[in-house]
Amino acid sequence: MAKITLSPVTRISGLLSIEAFTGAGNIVREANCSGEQFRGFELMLKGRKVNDAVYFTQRICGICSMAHGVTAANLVRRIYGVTVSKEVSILQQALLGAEFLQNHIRHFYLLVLPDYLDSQFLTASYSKKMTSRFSPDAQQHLAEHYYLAMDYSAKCHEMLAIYGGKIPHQHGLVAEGITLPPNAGNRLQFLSLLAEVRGFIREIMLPDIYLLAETYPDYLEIGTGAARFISFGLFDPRFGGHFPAGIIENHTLHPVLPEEIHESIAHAWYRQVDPSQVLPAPEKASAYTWVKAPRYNGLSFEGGPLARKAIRAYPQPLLKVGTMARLIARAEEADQIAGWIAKWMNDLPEQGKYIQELKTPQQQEAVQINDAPRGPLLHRMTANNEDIASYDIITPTTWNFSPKDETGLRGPVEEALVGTEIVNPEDPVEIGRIVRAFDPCLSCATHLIDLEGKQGVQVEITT
Amino acid sequence: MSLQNQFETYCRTSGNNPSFREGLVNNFSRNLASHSKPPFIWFEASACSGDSISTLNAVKPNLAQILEELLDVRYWNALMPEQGEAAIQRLLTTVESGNFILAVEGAIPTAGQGRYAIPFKQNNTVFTSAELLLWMAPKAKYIIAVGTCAAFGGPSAARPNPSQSKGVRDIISQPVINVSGCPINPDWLLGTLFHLMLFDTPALDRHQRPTLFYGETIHSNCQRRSYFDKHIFAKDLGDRECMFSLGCMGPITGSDCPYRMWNDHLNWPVKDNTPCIGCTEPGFPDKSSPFFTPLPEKQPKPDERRPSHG
Repeated sequence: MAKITLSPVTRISGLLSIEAFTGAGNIVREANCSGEQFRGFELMLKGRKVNDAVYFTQRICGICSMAHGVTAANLVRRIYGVTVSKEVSILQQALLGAEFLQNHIRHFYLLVLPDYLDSQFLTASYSKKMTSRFSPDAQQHLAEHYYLAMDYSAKCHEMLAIYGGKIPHQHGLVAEGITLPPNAGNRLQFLSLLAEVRGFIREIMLPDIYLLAETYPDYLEIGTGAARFISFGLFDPRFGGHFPAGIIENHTLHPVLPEEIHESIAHAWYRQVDPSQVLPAPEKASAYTWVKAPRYNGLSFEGGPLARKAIRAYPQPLLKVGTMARLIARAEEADQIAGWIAKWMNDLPEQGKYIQELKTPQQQEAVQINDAPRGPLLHRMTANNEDIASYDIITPTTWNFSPKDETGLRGPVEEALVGTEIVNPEDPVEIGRIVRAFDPCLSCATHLIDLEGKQGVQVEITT
Repeated sequence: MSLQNQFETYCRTSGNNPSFREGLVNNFSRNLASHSKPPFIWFEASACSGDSISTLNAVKPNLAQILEELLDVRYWNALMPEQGEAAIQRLLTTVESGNFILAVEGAIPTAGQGRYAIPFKQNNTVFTSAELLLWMAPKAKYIIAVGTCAAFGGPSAARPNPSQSKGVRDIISQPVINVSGCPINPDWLLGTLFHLMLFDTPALDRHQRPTLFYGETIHSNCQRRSYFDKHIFAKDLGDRECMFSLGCMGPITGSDCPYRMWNDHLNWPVKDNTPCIGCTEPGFPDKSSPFFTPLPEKQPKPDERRPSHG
């Protein structure tokens, strides 16, 4: 077989390489996704204060920091046995929603669109040669939208900063609640930004995505993968507008049971030093990535907007699974979430209780699972009174960019690449397009987990 | 007043001017007429991409437009259209030609022969961030460490630092300008870039950070200073009083956040009723930990585990 290496995979978050092995007809027969960075947040969290987890875990990722912050805040609340008020839950998910909008706008325009344009339309500095199927006029418009997208995605972050203080790595959402209560003035400011963003999504982004799908209809079929989907659920069903949790396997929906999640390090740069410890091992010969292989009931699962759409629409099956379906699902979900945020903000009461004292820990072990922009996110902690004893994180990109496990079962992106025809091996555009539709975030993907003693933890699927 | 004085005065007093970026372009770009666009490399090592995202949050005009009109962006993993071999070639050509501005985001891992951050590989050969930085640094005109990870190690190097990550200045011998922050405020980077292009390296403090932006502590300019001076302290997060009681690092943190604020002058941590956690400082996050413990009582808990393997 011939090997095609795509390294670096640019226009993503973090460091990634792809190797595709092609056979007759330049069809991909095997693929390896390599996460090329490791920092070790789980090791760093050991010994820190439980309540430091919110600000600390945000530093895992600059584009989805709020997802980690919210998940960690919910986790710390479980440890302390604190239930926050309805208004905190509503405002918190509105802010999380703003992070989703920021991500989804940036992902399509800044990261994905250049795969389909002649780059001189973006800036004279770039020199990427390809022949776009779009007319020069269409490309001019799309390039203008690319620049507009920078402004509108920045507005999403301004929405977050109103209550968060700053973003990336916000301050206002804490385990105790939210430190800046809504009033008429800041609510109006937030809603006015939201109105602008909604207009952009509806009038510019959605039409652009549909135009892309019409212009590149072959990508409706390219990058299908195994069509197994997972979501930990997103947003609280009490407030209207949410995505339910679930697993779709063999076209059947099942509930998510966290105890069925295991991780394989067979092909990842780690070694098990003793039953309770896994440490980095960059010299390991059989490994090709820093990303571990999460498996649910022994199978790999795709997370993200397409998974959420499939689970929410069930039993209606998805019309298509593939690259364009992922891009369309992301844009449609942005439109839905923008509408929900408006409703949630309007539902906030005039007065409320936004800060709750933590007092003393009531649990010494807890798990929090909920979706993040790219799919299911898990934070798990064991505590020694108010100090963190252990902390485990499984991010969505770990699921999607998983390597093979010990049985040789591929991760979702590897599976999506297999069967693809690479028309020009010197310029494997198909690989980049398939990979980017999953919205890779490799700074998130790398972490550690203790393989022993973590089964049997019950957790409700709430957000 | 010389042009340099004008520019520096503009930077120091512009923290509360919402048209700061616009003003920079309009007032000073004519002085760049004789300068051709310098080649610019944004190099990402072991990072969370937060500094890139924060930079994208600049508005009116947005930073990408400024970079593309005033800088010749030759390599930026997060944004460039090229991928794979074409991207590597672009980097090679730019570095070999020299005289470029190098911005580094993220810390540089040194454990495992640097294999904890591999920006790319080619023909089965792995290129670590450490060796790429060592190759690029001697040929760069200016080197800027963008963000606290690149400047001082930051969260990427937080105790016990499994990847043995270090700041750029600990890897190379060439001078480094530290535009620290977790993440940076885009104004700090843009003002520094303009200074480089118009004049030369700006005045730096003892941590090699431009005094234009980091020269005073947060405490010097905090709106809650009168509470501190009268010993009126917050009891809980969300309170209006001085956050020193809840862990604020303001007294020892160099930054202009109280004036400049964040996300186009909307807010900042103390205005948001939370403490500053000292994110521009060397030693962040460990020296700021626990985040909500008062400064005199902070202590990063001694590491109880055996050292990480490298």
